[in-house]
Amino acid sequence: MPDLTVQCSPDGPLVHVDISPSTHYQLANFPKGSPAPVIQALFLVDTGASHCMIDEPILAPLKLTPRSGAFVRSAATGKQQLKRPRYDLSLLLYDQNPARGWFHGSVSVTAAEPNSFDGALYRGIIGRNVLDLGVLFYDGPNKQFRLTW
Amino acid sequence: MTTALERDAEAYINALPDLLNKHRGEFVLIRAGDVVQFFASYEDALKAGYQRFKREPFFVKEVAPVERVANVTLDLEPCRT
Repeated sequence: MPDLTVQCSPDGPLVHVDISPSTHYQLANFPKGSPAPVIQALFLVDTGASHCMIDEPILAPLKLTPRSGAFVRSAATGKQQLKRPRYDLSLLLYDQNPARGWFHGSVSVTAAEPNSFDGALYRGIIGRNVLDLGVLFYDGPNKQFRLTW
Repeated sequence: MTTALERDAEAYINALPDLLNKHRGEFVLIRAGDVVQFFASYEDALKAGYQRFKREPFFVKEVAPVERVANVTLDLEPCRT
């Protein structure tokens, strides 16, 4: 089984992510062999999140429109639910070497409220709609985590 | 100004009572406020949407009486007016 072992940062279990339009979008909109735009960001691996989230402004270079909307609830919102746009993206999770990363061709990623990631090293969250597809080991004493798939 | 997402989401809400009768559990593709087609999966609806509308906005939603809520640990502040 391929795996990804990453040292935790002070912000928690962070992973590098290459973000592109989904493979379905690319097939329909890019000629064969034509590279799709890619942006890179750090994401927090978060088993408490049911879905992936992203800081919406970083998606601007991809020139995508949302594919749906989602109601989102957090500790701060209490019982109130926020309606947020949801994008269809491809995500490549990796540590040092993208060639050994974990690729997902079409992931629903919800845009967080503006400024939600202010002060954090990461610009997105890997939630359970991705984590459910693999196995996560969290090694607290050694401050590292491992994803296998 | 209403965005394409807001317009299509409103079209979904308005059509939902009728959609629930015949298409509950299916995935509806909406474009410019019009219901286009239904699919068995979210992925099939996305593929069809991209093939047909390319880079243009379109909207995909599961036809369901109650919308699932995403829970996150991130602090999301409710909008205040």
